[in-house]
Amino acid sequence: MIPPLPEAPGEAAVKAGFLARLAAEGIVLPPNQASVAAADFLALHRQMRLIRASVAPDAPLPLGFVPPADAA
Amino acid sequence: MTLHARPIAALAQGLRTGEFTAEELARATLARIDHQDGIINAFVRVEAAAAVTAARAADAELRAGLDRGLLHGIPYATKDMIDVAGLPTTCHSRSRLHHRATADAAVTERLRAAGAVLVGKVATFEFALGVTGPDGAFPPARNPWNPGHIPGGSSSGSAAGVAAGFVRFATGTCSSGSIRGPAAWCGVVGLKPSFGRVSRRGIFPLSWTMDHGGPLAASVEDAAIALQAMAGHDPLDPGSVDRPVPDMRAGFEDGVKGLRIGVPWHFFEHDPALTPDARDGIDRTLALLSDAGATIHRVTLADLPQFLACSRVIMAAEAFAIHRQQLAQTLHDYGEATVRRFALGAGVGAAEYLDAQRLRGMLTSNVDSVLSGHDALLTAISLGAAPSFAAQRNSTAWPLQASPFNVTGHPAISVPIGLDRDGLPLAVQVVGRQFDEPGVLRIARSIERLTAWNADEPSGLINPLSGLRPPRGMILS
Repeated sequence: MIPPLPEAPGEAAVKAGFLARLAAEGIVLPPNQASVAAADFLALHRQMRLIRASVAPDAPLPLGFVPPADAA
Repeated sequence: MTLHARPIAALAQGLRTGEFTAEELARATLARIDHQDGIINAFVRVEAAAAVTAARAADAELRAGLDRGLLHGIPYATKDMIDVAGLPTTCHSRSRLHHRATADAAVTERLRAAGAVLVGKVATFEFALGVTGPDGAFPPARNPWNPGHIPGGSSSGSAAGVAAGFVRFATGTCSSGSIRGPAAWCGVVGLKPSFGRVSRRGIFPLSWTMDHGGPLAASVEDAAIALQAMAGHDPLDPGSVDRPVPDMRAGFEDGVKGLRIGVPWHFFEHDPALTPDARDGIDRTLALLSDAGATIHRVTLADLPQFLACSRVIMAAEAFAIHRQQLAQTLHDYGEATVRRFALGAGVGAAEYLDAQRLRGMLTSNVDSVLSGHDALLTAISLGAAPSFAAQRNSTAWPLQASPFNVTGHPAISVPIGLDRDGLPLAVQVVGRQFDEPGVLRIARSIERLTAWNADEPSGLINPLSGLRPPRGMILS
């Protein structure tokens, strides 16, 4: 389990950005659901950051291509 | 011994000696479901007339000398994520109550060809991702060991139906632990085969990178027999792998002497969700395996949070891609919790998704590397017994560790090891090399034998509902 982190500066923007993405998809959640979903997304966002930090520079894309900038 | 307590091999023998017919077996199965499923809610649909018709056909074929193998005339249930021609595949969602499948899923085709008799469709979590709350299409399945406790999910009805003694096996689907998790909490065997071993054609997708089909069964042998019929190449599933299907029971009773088993303790030993009983069960299982001649080694895999993050990001992105349009059009046909889970994928960008896929490749290589020096891994599956419905409502924790091997595609099985101090099942997970299901089944069979789970009573169906005594396996208290 990844321990919950305190909300860092900028994370309110992450939540707002997520809700804006949802709205752009035509998906509008009721306010009580939106706040829970935004908090859940913040946890997912932290996991995306963990993934980015974990990917080795020479890790290929699914079809085997290594991004040149990463491989350099 | 009553019919429901007999293993598949014994039922097959009874059908061939004329002790009973497939029709009698089907009617006994249907009567048991009718009598007890009002408590358990394993089934969302019982196909009584069709089951009797199929059973009569199985009897006629056997009388005529056409023998389709061990599953010929054996009743089973299928998860309501899997297509059966002419029946709805509701995915436990109000949004699909009027659906009707036009063709069988590949798994349904294969089980039909093997002569198995479908008795009905069993509960799931909504679209295999949501939770079964009050806004679900059907009541949630309950744990036969204690109906006040959840059975786990998403193959909730499959596990509950097998544990309650309704069927010896049921189909399940698994994208992040949906076969092994409920199997562990219901005291049955759950086998997620290697990615590509079982076709997903006709199974409603959740995450095509991590979706698997596989059996839940009352014993390790029953699981092996079921997988034997379910497995095989399907050119219509792009993820299906074209390689021979081995004899799933090869070396089945050979024991574990000389096998090297790795244990990634770092996955679970410091997890606060690990209960003393679950820890004790793992220790005692390892001691039994060691006494039986296996060598046990501490191994180190990549960090568990990397596996969990990879699983969650890939699933969020792919599930959202599947449901995106329908969410926008018919949001209120989904349960609230399901909507929130699917909605997360809207925030996963292409670069983040592809980074997760790159990490998935690294993690798969990592597990392959560790398994190159070991015959299998043994690790936790449930960090404790099934929580009660009340406890689960107040918690977002899901104390299972199944998703790493959906990320990597390795075969993994959940096998019961005993009961905790409250009389609820505990289990361990065995993970094998890619496409080595027989090796995984062999070790699981040894655990089943060594822990004396079902030692005298060859069924995992012994529970308070059945009115029979508890199994003699380890009571961890």
